[in-house]
Amino acid sequence: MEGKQVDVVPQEQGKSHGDKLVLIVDDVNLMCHFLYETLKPIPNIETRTTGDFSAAESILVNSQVDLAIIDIHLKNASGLTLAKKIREGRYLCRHDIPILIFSGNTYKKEIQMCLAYDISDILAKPLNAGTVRARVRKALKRNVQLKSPDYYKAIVSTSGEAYKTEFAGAFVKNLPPPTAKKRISTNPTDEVKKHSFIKWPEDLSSGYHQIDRRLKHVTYLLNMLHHRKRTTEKYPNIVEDIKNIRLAIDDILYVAKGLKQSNAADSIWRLLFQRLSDFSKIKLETFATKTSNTHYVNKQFKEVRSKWLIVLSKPVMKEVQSEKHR
Amino acid sequence: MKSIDDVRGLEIIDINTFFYNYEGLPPEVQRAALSSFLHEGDEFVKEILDSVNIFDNELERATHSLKTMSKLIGAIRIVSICELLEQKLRAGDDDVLNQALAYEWEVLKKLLENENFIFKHK
Repeated sequence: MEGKQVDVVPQEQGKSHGDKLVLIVDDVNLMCHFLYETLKPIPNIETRTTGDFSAAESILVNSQVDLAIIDIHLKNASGLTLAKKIREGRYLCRHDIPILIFSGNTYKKEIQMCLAYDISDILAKPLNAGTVRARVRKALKRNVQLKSPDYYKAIVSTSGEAYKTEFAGAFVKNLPPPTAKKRISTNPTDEVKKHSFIKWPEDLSSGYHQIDRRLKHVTYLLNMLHHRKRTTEKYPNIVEDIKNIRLAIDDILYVAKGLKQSNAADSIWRLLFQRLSDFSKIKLETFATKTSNTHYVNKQFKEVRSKWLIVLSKPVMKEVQSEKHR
Repeated sequence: MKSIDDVRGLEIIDINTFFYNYEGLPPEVQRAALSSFLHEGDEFVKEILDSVNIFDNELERATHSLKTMSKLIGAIRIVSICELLEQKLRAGDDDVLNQALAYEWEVLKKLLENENFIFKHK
């Protein structure tokens, strides 16, 4: 039987007896089309494609999916979240179905997540049609005994960091081992990390942990300002948030002045003070005015971002590997 | 890839990559893929050009998707521009190659709109 492409969730969720149902989730239509056509010649395969996370969930809730091919970077969601929920047994399908993760970029933390959720295969884009077919056939034949859904639920409940899969790379570079005990993060910073506007340079350091910590905090505050300004219609605390950014920068200056006294020979001070002073000249307060001009707001944020990245750039910040913290 | 000049030294499209990736798939599927690529790619290019070069998740996703699609089709100049774009935006560089992207996309479109260019090389 030839494959059947469905990109909306049908009312009738049945599949022919003996057919294997393959779910393809990729927000790029071209990829869905490529995978669908690639799998079509495999006998007894029915294929459903969708680019949308919630539509994929609807299919999984209503159909016995036998194999899932999921793009890691979906719009507004992570494919790994879908994989995690399959492993937790939240859908109609068996929790131990083969899951193939399809990705253009694969980062270390994503591979760690794939290992944690016993992903069957990671397909790096682009792939030749024949290779995809072979990998799918192999995955369908595999009979691997996976752990129970409770095991995967436990990973989630004990590894708050691992749970956060959506592009949190700016802040979470090296994830702990998947089974590491860690409390659930209910930190409100999660939403900001998902939408990071300025990425903290994990591989750079000023050489002073006191400065690094404060710079990182301002980076977070700027990300929060950007995220809230762009995602909420009403932002009642904006004045306070801007004030906190100002205070946090003053705090860096205060601490840096103290450190300068005992490390006067270090060449970073003049530049650091100059850059912070330049950044402070940006009229952040204009974000608090009632303007509906998105273009203007975006332009202002562009200035914020580029000036803050200057603060975080060399030679004030240096490669961590080449310089130990003092 | 270091600069836009390096990009211009590349072929517009590597036809061998396209036929390798779509190996064994019928010509009508290959044609539909090219058409789908142009249509969807247009949207991503527009999204990138309309952005104000703030490297947020939306711009990152659009650039990444355009890059991935272009890899599948073998549009290597666009792949390289997307890679440069990602590097520059991550570094906070304002020179974000919008003009180059717009130009190269139009060049590629013109080439792909003439199906014979692709299929006569097969």
